[in-house]
Amino acid sequence: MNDDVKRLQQQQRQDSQLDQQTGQSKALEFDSAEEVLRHDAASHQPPDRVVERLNESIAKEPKPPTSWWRKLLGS
Amino acid sequence: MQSPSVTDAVAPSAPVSSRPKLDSPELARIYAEHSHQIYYLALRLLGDATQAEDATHDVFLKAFRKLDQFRGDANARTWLYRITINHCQNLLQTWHHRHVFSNADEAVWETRATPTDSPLRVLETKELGERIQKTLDALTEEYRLLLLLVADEKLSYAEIGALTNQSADAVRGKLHRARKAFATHFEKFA
Repeated sequence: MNDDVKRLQQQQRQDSQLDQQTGQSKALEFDSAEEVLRHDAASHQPPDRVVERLNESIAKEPKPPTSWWRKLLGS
Repeated sequence: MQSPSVTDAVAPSAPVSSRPKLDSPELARIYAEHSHQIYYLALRLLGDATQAEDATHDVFLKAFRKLDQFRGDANARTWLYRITINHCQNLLQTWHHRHVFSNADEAVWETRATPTDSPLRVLETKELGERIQKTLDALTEEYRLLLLLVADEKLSYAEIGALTNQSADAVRGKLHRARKAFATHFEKFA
């Protein structure tokens, strides 16, 4: 009986070590809603085209008005 | 399983040298630091990848227009979150969003996983994403927002309270109930 328990514990340890070494787990397990959402967030990046669109939009933005003292100094 | 931190989540999806750069250096810095969280918040509030992309663009364009007001403010994250929350709430309240059929389901689930993911990983991400969106959609708007904000480890309860117009203690109390509601629905959609 004791041998069986020891064998089972040994097997569990080996399985756990194997999981850690390979970085894989049989199933995703989370302790909280926040963990689920953090995991989810990690797989969603903003598309690169947002930057391209932003550059285009910024290029169309009106230039800020020159301040009166800059006009006065001619700079 | 050890979940990735939010810091992990901002890992670039492409080599830095090949990524497009913003012409405004200050906005580029803010975008690099916060765009991932802003996009994710918009994605899960709106439930649509295309609308989340548009919202991210609009939020950062508003930020660009108001950079002068922002300078000197220590916390760009909360400033951007406030713009995002208002923007998404406005979108959700429009007739168009409420009545026009959207292919949100497919759009959200088909958002790209990071390029290094294996096919199995992508499948896993898609299934999990679908379940998460259904779970969030089943919650009240307040619970949904609180959970999405608290998932960002850089935000304190006080900052979440400021963003949602309540005290840190109220946030703490509601989060407890929000987590329970999330867990219940998450199991239901398994």
